[in-house]
Amino acid sequence: MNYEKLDEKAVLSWRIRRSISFLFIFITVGGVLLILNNADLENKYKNYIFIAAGLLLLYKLIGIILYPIIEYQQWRYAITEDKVEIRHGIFFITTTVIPIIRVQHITISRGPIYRKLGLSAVKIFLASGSFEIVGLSENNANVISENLKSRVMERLNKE
Amino acid sequence: MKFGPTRGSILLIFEHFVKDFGLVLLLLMVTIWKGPQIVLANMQFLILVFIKPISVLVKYLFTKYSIDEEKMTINSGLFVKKIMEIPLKAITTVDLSQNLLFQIFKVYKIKADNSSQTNDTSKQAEVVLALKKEEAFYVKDLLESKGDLKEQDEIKKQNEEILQPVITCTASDFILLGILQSKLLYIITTFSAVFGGGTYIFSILFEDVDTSALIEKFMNLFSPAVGIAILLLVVYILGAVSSAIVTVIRYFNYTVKNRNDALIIEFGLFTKKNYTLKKQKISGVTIKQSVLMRIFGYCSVEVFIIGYGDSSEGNNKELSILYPIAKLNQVNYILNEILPDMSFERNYKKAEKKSLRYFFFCFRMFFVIGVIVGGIFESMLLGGNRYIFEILGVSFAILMITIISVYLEHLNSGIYANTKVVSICNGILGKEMTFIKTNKIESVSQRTNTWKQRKGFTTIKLGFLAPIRVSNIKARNVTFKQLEEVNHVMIL
Repeated sequence: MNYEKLDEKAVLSWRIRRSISFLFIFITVGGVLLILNNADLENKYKNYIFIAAGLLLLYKLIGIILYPIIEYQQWRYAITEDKVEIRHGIFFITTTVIPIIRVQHITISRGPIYRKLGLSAVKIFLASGSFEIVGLSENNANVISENLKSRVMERLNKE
Repeated sequence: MKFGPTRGSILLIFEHFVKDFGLVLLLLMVTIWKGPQIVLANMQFLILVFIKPISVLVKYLFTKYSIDEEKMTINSGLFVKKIMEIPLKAITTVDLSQNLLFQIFKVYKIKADNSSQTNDTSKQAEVVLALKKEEAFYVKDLLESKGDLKEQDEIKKQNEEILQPVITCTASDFILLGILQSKLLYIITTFSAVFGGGTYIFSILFEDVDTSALIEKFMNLFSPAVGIAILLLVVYILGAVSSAIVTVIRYFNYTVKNRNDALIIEFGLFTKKNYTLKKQKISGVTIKQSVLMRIFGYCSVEVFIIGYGDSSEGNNKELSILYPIAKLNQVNYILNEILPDMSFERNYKKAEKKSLRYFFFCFRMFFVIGVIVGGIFESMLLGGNRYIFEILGVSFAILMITIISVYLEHLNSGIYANTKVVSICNGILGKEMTFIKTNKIESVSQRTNTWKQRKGFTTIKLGFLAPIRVSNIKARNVTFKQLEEVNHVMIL
């Protein structure tokens, strides 16, 4: 199967999004630690909390620097005559196969970061849930969306 | 227009009487008891009391239902007018129910569910209407017929024929179900109720008696092991009895009738229910066996269809029961008869020996190891080693139990796929065999890591149209060949 890759700007979009989340967590955790530091609590428990907070922040930092590169290398999608296949993940790779006859509708979404970078996400809705192809160039997203829409219309006309 | 526009019977606003009008009743009681002065002095709280009744009334007054040849239309909204059209073809189940109040006035509540109710719009697309008996049955026929007059006549004829029940369950069956089904929640609640409430009542009735001393004295009569065994037995019996009572009341006089196009399920003592499950809308069934059921060869069967057995009935969570309890071979025979487009073979390809190691990579294993390591670390390094042998003993026992449970999970795992159904078997002491119609599967997801992938194993998740609770069923650590089989039959 010929898999397509995402737009390279997807890495930057993940980094920006995760940096915002990191900043939010950093402020919250920092605030809590500051309060705890002055609180009347046994040193033993304080140490546990500091270690846990440190590990959380380290994990989030790796999430900004390293994970987007791995994620970009793992992200693949393929659209064939009868199915859509999406493959993604960091340590655990998830591959989803969706028969095109099951597609109910498609939406293209662009958040503020995506708009700035000229990216789009295509969300494929089934009756039982939805799946998303992220980090696509706007042009590519429109092509995929039109392609899937025409297949859905074909199916509806047959019905 | 074939029916409506109508609001239906006003009795609908009293459906959840205690929930919606409880505060009003409380206010009334306070007024009678303490006099109107106390109410007049706290006028600012009156609005809180009347919020719910007024909102229920407004919802009733500003919602109108109508049905034509193709669709059901719901006009609603006080300030923001909303029109929702539901194609009759999308309706999955139509059910009639009567609580005590509705039974007195011969009114039926109609609840129609449709395919869109698996997603976020479930509440918006809800159809709940109360009608007089004749109207209710007419609307039910109309919704089931999908607007087709000929089909409607056929359904009427079928309704006139006296359908013989294919499944009937008496109170004794449900008592057996209560005994054989492991119901941890009931056991815990019964335990708390009996030991909490019981000792409280006892202490009121016999003020001079010290209840805790009495319990202690009673427990001292036996050795600790016998005491715990008796306690567990008592709690189990109480749990089973309370579970059986609740189930018998809810599923009183349970019958399933087999019509060409649908299964008709009727039950209930105080609240009578009647469900019509369209066979073509059924996504699958699951055969469940608790550990005791497996020992005695019994099982219970649940069915997957939107609108039956999910939480859409407010707080009254119902199981999607099709066959409450029966012998396994009897269930096979009945299922083949009532759902001929499915197959209920059990020729599972069991999980391979090599995959056993991957079953150990589960949450409970990591959790137990984490707790044990943490416990030993805490007692040895930080809290002294006074109880170290006891902690080590308990840790070893928990670890062994977890290892055995993982091994049993591996033994029970299996999957097979053919053009009719994809079936997944899993369980530890109990067992669940899930059969999903192949043409109802909407997506197949597989999740693996590089290490597992190299050895040729993955975990499959099937997405299909069913209540959210069951719409993702997993088969853990199966081979890629089995995944290919599922993908192949699904695309076909």
